[in-house]
Amino acid sequence: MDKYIEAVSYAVINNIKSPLMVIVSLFVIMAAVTAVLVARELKKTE
Amino acid sequence: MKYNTKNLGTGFLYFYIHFVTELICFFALGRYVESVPVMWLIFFTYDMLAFVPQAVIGYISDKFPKISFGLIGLIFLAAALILQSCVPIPFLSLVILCVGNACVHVNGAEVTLRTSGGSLSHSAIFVSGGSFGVICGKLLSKTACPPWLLLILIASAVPFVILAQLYLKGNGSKDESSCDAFSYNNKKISRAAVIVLAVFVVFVRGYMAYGIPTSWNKTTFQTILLFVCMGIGKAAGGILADLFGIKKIALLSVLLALPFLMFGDNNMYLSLTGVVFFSMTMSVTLGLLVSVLPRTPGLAFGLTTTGLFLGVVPVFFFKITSLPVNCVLLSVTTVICLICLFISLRKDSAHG
Repeated sequence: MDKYIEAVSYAVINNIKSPLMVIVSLFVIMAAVTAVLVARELKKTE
Repeated sequence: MKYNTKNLGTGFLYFYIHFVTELICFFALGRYVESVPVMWLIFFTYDMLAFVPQAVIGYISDKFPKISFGLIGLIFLAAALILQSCVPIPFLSLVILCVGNACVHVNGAEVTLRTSGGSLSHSAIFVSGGSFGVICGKLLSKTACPPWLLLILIASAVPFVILAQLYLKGNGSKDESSCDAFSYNNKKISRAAVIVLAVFVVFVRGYMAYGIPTSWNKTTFQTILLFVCMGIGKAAGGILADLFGIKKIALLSVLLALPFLMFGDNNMYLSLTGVVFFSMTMSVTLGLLVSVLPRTPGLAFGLTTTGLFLGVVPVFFFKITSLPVNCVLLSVTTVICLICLFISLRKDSAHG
């Protein structure tokens, strides 16, 4: 899971070209972190 | 009919705190717009940085309940206001403003959900305060009101945050199990599927809030009415769901909203009735998400704000002006929302 976030962050940061891209990149990273947290939480309370 | 009024005070405390927060944010946004040429980028950045991190901040708040994110949020809001007047770098104060906004929202959700004993009214009243704050902030930003005057407003919210924290402490509601009373989801379908369906409904609500045709909205008074109706709808959704049952209210509100929104483009009264009905789904989706993630209500709340951001994004890039296309879009998305809610909500019990 953590490797997944790391890979997404790396791919995103290397493609930043404009202010809009910074915001979109931040969104992608945060969405990935949120998805991992939700998955982890669902697994824990199964 | 049984109505739980225990700790309803937390809803009203956070109604005011939420009102102040949104007022500060939209006042500051209004002032940024005066100084920055790329207006849409300011709003886009605000929506992204205020809405999306709430899931992560919510998760931290769930895991570390001793941290008072409400107070931290108010400090950030005050810092953003001061920076805005002193430092000529708009994006720096904007980021601080967004983090402050996110922190206050997360704390409001934590307090109202954890003290509600499974009722929706508390969080619905808390959320409704925001709509009133948005319009007041927008109007105030156009006046000559100095930013420092708003610091008094932030200070006035501090005792409310402390009192809300005392409610939380006094009820032992900081326990992990304090949201176990929420069980509105259909147990026959997987919790992951419920999350996807609920976030989709929020996504549609987010789009409709900005994308619905309102060509009647031309005066300041009409804009005030629009936001007031949104606030009333959000609060009414939670209260009515507690009174009559979440499934009944969810399905009825979505179904009744459709004709009013479709034919309300030029008629203010029809449109506003539709807005009230559609805003009622807010507490329903929040209740659903907390039901599947009862140990992390902050994270569940954050999912709704992420869905809202996703719904708002299309509005920045294109707006549908054709009435027939809008009607088709409204009908299709409403039917899909109806199916999503029907599948994911459990049957109402006899007492609602």
